[in-house]
Amino acid sequence: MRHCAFTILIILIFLTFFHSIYAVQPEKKSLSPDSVKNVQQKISKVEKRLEEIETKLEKEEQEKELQKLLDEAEKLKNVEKKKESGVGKKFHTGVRRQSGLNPNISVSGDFFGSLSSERKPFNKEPGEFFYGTNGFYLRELELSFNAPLDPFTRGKSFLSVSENEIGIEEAYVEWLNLPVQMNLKVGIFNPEFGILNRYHDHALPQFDRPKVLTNLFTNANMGGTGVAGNFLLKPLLGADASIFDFSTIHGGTGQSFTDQGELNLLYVGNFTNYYDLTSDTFLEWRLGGVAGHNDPAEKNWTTIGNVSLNIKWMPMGRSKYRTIDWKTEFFYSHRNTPAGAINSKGLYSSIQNKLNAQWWLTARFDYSEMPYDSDQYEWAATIGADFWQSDFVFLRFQYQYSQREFTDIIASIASETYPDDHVLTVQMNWAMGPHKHEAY
Amino acid sequence: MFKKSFSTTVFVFLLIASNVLADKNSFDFKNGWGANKNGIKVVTSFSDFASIASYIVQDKGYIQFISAGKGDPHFVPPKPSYAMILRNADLWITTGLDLEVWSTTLLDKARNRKIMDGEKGFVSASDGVDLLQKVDKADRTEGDIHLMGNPHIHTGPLNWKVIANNITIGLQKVDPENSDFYITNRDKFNDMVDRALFGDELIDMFGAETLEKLLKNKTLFEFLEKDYEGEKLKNKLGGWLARAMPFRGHKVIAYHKNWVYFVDTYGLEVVGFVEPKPGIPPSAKSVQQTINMIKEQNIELMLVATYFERSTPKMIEKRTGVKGCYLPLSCGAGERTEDIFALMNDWVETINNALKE
Repeated sequence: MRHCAFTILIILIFLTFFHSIYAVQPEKKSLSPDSVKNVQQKISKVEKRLEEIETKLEKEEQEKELQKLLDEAEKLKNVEKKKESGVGKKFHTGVRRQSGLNPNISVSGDFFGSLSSERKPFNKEPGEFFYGTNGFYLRELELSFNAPLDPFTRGKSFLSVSENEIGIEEAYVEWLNLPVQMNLKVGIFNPEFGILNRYHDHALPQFDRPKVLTNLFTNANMGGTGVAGNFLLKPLLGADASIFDFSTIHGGTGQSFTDQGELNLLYVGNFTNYYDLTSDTFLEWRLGGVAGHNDPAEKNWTTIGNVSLNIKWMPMGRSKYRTIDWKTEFFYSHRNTPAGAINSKGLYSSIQNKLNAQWWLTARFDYSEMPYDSDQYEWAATIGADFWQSDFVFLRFQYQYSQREFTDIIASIASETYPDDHVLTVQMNWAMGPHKHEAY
Repeated sequence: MFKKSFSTTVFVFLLIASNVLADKNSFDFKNGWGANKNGIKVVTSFSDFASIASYIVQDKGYIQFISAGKGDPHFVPPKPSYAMILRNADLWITTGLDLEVWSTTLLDKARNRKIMDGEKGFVSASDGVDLLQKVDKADRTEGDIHLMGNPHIHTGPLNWKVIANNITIGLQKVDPENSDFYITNRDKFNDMVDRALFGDELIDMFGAETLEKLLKNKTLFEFLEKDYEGEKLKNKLGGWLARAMPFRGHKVIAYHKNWVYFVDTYGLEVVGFVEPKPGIPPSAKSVQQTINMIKEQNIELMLVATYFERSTPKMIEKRTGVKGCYLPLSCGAGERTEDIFALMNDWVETINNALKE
């Protein structure tokens, strides 16, 4: 509006100016070319000036408009984001959330029901070699506590509760980043030896431990109280990672190693070489050995060697739905006795095939000679299907056929060989809290 | 006889298998950014952080990442080879929330004191990000929840500036001599983000800080309705926000809670999920409920990260006519997503194309 008024004013001045030029001419006479040119120049100057004034005014106008917008933006900038409210709002108490300083605590339960074709009592009740059949059982309720102790150490404890006993599965402190690329573990733990020895029961690829592990170490892991060093080596033999573990533990379960000696020390070594074959597939082989006394007098040694291979295919981008994991371990046991040496061997080969987000198919073949008599042996074939309801609850359906050609020298059921049997197992496993198996 | 021959056969087979499979291919995750392999060694949990870091580090170092983008970021196997990558890192950049649960196992294995939590080589990328979806009911009835808030922070471009700032702080700590270089590059990166998001014209008129605040407090589009030089200010909007106008205000379904920062930025409204709860696979019943919801609310778009299965979303598409947008969640997970800017371009373009179909 002001702009228009000002323009009209300028035009009026301009007209007045012209009027005055004409007014001072006393009589009509022809203008000289110079006069006309002079007048035209003056008009041109006035027009130019007029344009400049207009441009300036426009710019001022724009700046004022922009400033106004900036002022408005400034006001809006400080507006608090509206908080959503309404009937969808949920109310909760903070009283129940005081756990910030506690360690990570998890509880997992492992229930199963099992039906065997063989009704003899040898495998009815859970024990060192059998999990129990023809009934429902709580294999384990596992409580885990996990926390950094300080900037240098981690503490982990796993308590195992079953219907008959409460035991410490593992409880150790681990120092990280020590010299010579070492992590040092002290406490009760299952040392690195082969693939499955560090697996807790709920994380096994099948319901039960492979026969060869059970016959060598019972159906618990080979573990004990002691110290273990874990060394990250420079990669060897073309590997992408090489790791060496050495542990000394006070252990022994009475099977391969005595549990009645004065020291019951086991010396365990394990070398792992890991290869990324592709971005989807890795291969890992391990060489391990464990040595310890097998008699209460601690004179005779048992040495067990392990060669294992793990190949896992996890297609990138689809591993949530497809994975194949093949694990195979071979064990060789050399047992010195006053009557001479007993050499025995055993192996298992397990495969897990993930079909989709929730279903896995699994299979395993077992063969195991008895460490106390290599002429006695058993083998088994196992197939199963796992249904993962979520990452925290799964159901497992398993069928196993076992053929047994051995007697039990420890708790003999007369001199008969154990019977063969078909076993159907339904396992239900659940976890509360953050603890999950940290396999790769 | 049987047992001996069987054992021998299996053993020979294992030896042959290991030799055949030892013929290696190359790996994506080892190909990082940066020309200077003798400079600062930066390792990130995700390729998105690596992409942002590459703008700041440039030729002063070398950047690698653990998760190559195609997989589920919640579940990355803590392989020993990843620990080897971390072993010599000067800087470890991770979200810092509870997304990379797998990362602590790797850190404990890596024997690298410099990059442990709290050390100068440890960067929490999310520090200072306005986290959304903070949990107010912490139990598993809500599925696989993230206690500290939604950790998929890279889906919001404004968060990139916070991430860049955190990375710069980390770089300044481990390489103080080049501090000014990193700050300059961070500022250039932040300007790139602002201009890519708002367009040059608005940035030059109002500055990034003002526009960012308006976008965050949801008053930007109210403001852009104002007149300037005879036209609405929103005509001067450029960048991703302008390109996202066709889908601004749309209701969408998402497979998982991956996209909260993206939808917050571009004004989409997520009204439901294909997963009944986070981390719980869809059941027949939950899928039917989703289908009903799409039909009732006339929803046009469904956002699905490419690491999820497609059979359920495809079936939902077929039965409702909703347009499925299959979006790579991270850099490197699809074509034209080699960089964080390219990734955002791809998301916006894919959604626009879906609406045009």
